Amino acid sequence: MAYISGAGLTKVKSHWDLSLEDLAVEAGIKALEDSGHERVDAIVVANSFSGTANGQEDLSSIIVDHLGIRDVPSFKVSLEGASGAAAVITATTLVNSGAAKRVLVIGVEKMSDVTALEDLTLVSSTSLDRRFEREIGATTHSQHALIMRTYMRRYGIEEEDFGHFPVLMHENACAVPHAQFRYRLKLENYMKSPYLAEPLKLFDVPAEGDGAAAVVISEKGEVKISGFSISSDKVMLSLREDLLKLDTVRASARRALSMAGLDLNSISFVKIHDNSSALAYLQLESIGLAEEGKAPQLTAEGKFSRDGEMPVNPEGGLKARGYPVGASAVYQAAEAYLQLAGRAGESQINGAKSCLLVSLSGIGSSAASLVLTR
Amino acid sequence: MVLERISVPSYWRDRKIKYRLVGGECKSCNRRFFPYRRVCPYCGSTDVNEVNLPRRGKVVSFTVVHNAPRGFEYYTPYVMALIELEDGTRLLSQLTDVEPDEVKEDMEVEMVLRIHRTCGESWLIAYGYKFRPVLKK
Repeated sequence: MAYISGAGLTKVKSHWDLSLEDLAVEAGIKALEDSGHERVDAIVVANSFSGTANGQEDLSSIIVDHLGIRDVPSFKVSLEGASGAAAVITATTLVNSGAAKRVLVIGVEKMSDVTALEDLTLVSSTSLDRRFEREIGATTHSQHALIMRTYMRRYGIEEEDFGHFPVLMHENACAVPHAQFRYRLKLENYMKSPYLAEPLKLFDVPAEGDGAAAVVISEKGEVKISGFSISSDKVMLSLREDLLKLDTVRASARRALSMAGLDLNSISFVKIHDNSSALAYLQLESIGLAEEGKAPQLTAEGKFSRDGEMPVNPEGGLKARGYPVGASAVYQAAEAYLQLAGRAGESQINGAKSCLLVSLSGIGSSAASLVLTR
Repeated sequence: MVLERISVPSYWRDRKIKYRLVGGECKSCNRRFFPYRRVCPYCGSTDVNEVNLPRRGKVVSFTVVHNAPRGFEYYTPYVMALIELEDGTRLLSQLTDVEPDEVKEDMEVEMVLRIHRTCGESWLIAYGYKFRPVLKK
């Protein structure tokens, strides 16, 4: 069995004074110190855009070099927004198989070196199909917008109903020191935010910030990795049979829970990949936490609040904690570890025993799920 | 950024699909899809033929893009639409010859060949399909 035995996080923001490797080293050292170990048998780096945004490939070698560690196996695992969960799963299989006793997973993303908005939109849209989506003008935002409009039409939902999720995420992030946006968002201000791709607004999507998070996966520790699964399916929205069904989320979450021998009723809190308000609602519905079309109402009623029936993203999610894309799921894992170890400070959910964690690549092309238990 | 540049061989390779809406028709599950691929995305069969898809359809969902990526700034705001062709095949396309606020779901549209964008010092032109409201019914 594999466990998380330490974690390290940097605040998510525009780190003008820190490079890609600086961020990775900071989180890596923190996680090693936290776990009480100096040596690891392997280093797995999670990252999505180092080639396109930073012009740096062979990233794991660079990071090992900067960590001052010699002769250790390393590689990068990349699955866009789900890179971090894929890296944790890779490290888990290394430990479970006996190939390694202790693995350091470092998730890092450095987007702020891409300073022009048009370039950032271009880089963040590279997870779309290049030939038949991105190169005819589609962006990640346009794809979220197509789904959002379909959701509104099918279930008779208004634009305002999508605001409940970012409002909750901002509320949660206020208590989290490493979160990027620690302020409350009012629904009226959500409604006033400009359209990126109608009906998708600025406050529907996270900002791609800089950040690094690291966890140590080892044979012993406080938090067990009880279940995990990855599912990959269609990238292009036009090939999906139903825009409002995230098959990858449904499949990977179900398999991860089944592997852990748990069902949703025994989960203490959930972490989802809220890369837009609409995708957040679809994930809650695909996981089985809300009936189809009901996630906005349940969010408004408080079911997913930190003190609600099923807390979702108690640290503010991608929206308010911040979204360092390839590192984001390592943040999720590190935050879940701190919750389950009772070390989440002001954002602590009392008595948390288990967590279902879901992360996505693209618009749900792949989903990687983990079940963590104390 | 290198990413915004048009790769000539890449566009040349896809000219048939992008100029004539060439899709795939699976002989195993009878489904059609766009663009043509060697393997059916629905059943995994390799028994797939090329097929010229119908050029008329209707808008299923749409969005008006305001924050364009590098290379498309000049065209902002533009409309991206998910379109269902007359045979049920779906594809993503820009809409043209229509004001963004005139676009509606279920609007009937037809394919036209248009400039997707130009790029670089020599103004290389990438042509391809766009859809416009149907002119004659």
